[in-house]
Amino acid sequence: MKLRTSQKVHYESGPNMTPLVDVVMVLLIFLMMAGKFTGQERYLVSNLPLRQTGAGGATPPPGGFPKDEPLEVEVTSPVPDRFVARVGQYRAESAAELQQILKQLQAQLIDAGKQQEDLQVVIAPDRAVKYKFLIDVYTAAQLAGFQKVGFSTSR
Amino acid sequence: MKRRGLPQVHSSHPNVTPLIDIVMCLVIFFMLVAKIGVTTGADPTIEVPVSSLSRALQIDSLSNTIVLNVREKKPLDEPLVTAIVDGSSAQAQEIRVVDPSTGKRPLLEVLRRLRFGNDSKPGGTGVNGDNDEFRVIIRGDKEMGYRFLEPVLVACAEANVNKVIYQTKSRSELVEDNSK
Repeated sequence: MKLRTSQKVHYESGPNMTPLVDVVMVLLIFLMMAGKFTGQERYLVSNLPLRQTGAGGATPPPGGFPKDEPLEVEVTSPVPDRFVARVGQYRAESAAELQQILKQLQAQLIDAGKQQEDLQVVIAPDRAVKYKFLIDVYTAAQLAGFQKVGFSTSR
Repeated sequence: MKRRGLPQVHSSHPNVTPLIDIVMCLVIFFMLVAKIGVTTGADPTIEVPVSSLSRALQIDSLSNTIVLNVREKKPLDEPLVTAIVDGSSAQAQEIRVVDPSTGKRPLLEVLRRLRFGNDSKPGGTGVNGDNDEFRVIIRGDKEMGYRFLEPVLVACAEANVNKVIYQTKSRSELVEDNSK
């Protein structure tokens, strides 16, 4: 009797992908674990004021040094968790107040015929003022519209 | 006439081709995006201040940039400045503002060399050429007093570094930190 053989079977041929998948998975996990995926870091970019005196000796800009003396913001810290900023006769105890004062002063200076690009702010902090307050003052000056802001040596 | 059909296909495993396609795409993506072995020398333990004005900045060329970590050196009343200089080390090394034993100013020397080339003087070409695009990123501890930052700024000014950038956090990052 003739035995009925099983139907002819076609097996899928091709390379064995298992080792490839293993290696690729290991690579994937390594890259996911080892990579640094923190977002972009953030910075306060500065345009430093230009003065004819002091350290540095930078090459003067094409238009020369601004004629006007920069606005000086004195910063003190009577208690460790507060700061007081003084600009001339004005006094501010928060960054928002300081920003308003600087905006007013800037408007007055521009009304008096000064050029926006000549206006500079120099922050003159006390030695004990915390860095975070200086960044607040710096931010307030930039938010008020001053493009050139820098620090002077402590008093 | 009896039509002959396609041969029966028996596959003992699922089709992994789509999986490999996707995984390969992921591998290529992570290879391009991940910064492995690239470090600016930023000290992650330093708590930088918050600013609403800070903006994202891509550090595309580390050859033009030095990140100075500045904090209080306890118990001494002097700044502790660390940085990676010339990529000579994978970890940030201390650079003293003033070396009391010799009276030299290592930080100023490093900044001058990076700003003006190996001769540390304005002018020159090649390895002695000036780097006008050189910038200093200050990563300062938010709780330190200005007296620790001031000597670093003075050194930057004396080295004629025109671009001093302050690393900060945005408000949204602060909220995320507090929620952890």
